[in-house]
Amino acid sequence: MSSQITMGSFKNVASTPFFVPLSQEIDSFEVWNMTQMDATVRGVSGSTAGTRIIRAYFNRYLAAGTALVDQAGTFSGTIAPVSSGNLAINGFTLFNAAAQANGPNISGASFVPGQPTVFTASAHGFQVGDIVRIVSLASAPELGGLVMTVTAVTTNTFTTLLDSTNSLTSTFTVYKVGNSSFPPRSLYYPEVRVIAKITKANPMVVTTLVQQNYQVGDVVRFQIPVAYGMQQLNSTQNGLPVQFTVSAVNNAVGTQTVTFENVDSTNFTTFASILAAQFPQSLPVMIPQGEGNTNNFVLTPPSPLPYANQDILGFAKQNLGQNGILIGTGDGTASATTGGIIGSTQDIWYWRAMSSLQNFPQVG
Amino acid sequence: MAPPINCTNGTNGDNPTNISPLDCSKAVRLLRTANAQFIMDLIEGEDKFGTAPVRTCFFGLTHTNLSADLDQMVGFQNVAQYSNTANLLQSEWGTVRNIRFLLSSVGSISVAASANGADVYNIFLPGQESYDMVDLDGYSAQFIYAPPEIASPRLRLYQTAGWKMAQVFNITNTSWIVNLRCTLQVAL
Repeated sequence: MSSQITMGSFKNVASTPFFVPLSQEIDSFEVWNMTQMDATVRGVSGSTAGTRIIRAYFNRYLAAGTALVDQAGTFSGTIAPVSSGNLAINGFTLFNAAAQANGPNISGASFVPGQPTVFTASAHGFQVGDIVRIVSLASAPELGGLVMTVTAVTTNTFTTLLDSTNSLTSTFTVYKVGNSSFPPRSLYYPEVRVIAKITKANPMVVTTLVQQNYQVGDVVRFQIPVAYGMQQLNSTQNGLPVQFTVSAVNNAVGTQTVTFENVDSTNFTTFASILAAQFPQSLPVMIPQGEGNTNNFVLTPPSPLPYANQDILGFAKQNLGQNGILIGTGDGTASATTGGIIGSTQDIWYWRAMSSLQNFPQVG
Repeated sequence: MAPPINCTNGTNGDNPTNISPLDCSKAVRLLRTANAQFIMDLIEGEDKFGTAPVRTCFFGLTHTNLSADLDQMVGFQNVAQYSNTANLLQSEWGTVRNIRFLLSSVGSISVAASANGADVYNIFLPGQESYDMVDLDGYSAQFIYAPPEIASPRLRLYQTAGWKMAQVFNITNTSWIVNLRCTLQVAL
């Protein structure tokens, strides 16, 4: 146990928050925007555009999402005057994987039944990739409690891959359970995933409500309540699980599919969303079974098989929990309304995190 | 992650519902059909007033907030009514159908996750060998205390205590473990 200083650099993506994973307790954190201080680093040319945050500082006494910042003025040659102040929005946010809170409740007015489903909720503030849960649907209780990835947004609407075809539109409450800027909410991989839809085709394609991060060769089984149909995927009554090997995955937000090349579901019972009358109900889920350990891709090209029966550890348990700090994004200035540390340019940053052996109690 | 099934036979109008004996039977049926083995042997009946035998059981690992709901369940048998209490666990609350419930104040809760936005309580029902623990050569968990003579030898101003561990838990067969999810009927 001792004081600890950690440092590094990163190249931000324009207008995108950046997460720095750190296992240490973060007592203070600083970043320098080397690019906007006219330094050419890692192939990115320095800039003298000015009017940008060039240094930001955070400590435990500051509120989450804020920062103390230095902002450069207009450059004269190679130097610029600096103004200091408090950035009220899109600053630094500490992240503790073991103590993640849900977002605030947001009231929703309605949704358009279908697949995908478009929800209307004024000024929801969600971003594509966020994970949200809907609850308290007065006219569609069968959808209550579902968790899904946001695949598209407008100011007052958001879209998910939920199949609500058989539901009535309803008021609802929605809140964020996973932030697109942070590491996954769950501490452990792989996860059970709720199914949005299943094709009747060869090969069979399963779409999940939330990105699954599975990989080719992984083995899964299904647990589908009778009300959802397609009972052919369930394990049988003889005690042996019916397993399926993943042959392709597309984890892009808005696609979120898992393909099973060795499954022809053409003649299976249709997988359908449930009715309000079938509430309450368990969820249809896809369950990770273990690393690739079965080879049932016989006669399936290409050959030799690049997947299945391979010595892969795709479904080996992994603890994904990590702490760190999120660096917010805005227009790269200290503006109270549009500000944020990271701006609309791609810059090279130097960062330094410090953990103190001892913290003095607050005095006065 | 243990595969989830919702309680659906309770009466509180939520999804999942509050726990009911039938939900317990369904969860046990699922495990037994998958050939999961019980954890605890049966406790035979004895000639003692107010007691009854206890079935062979899986353990149900859940939160102490469920204790009142369990007490309300028809057929629930508190540990005081076991015909033999020789091998009780300190956290054991009682039994219904083929489940003996172990309660902990750090039991798993999914906050505001039900259809009505109530907290969902996860009851983990593991069968034998459904999960295992991988130790790293006996390293396991260590609690390390450094007295002032070691932590700050010059002036002996402070001492340190901490823990570290190197072990992994792993679900070996997802068919042999179930997460029975429920909400509360008896409000906190």
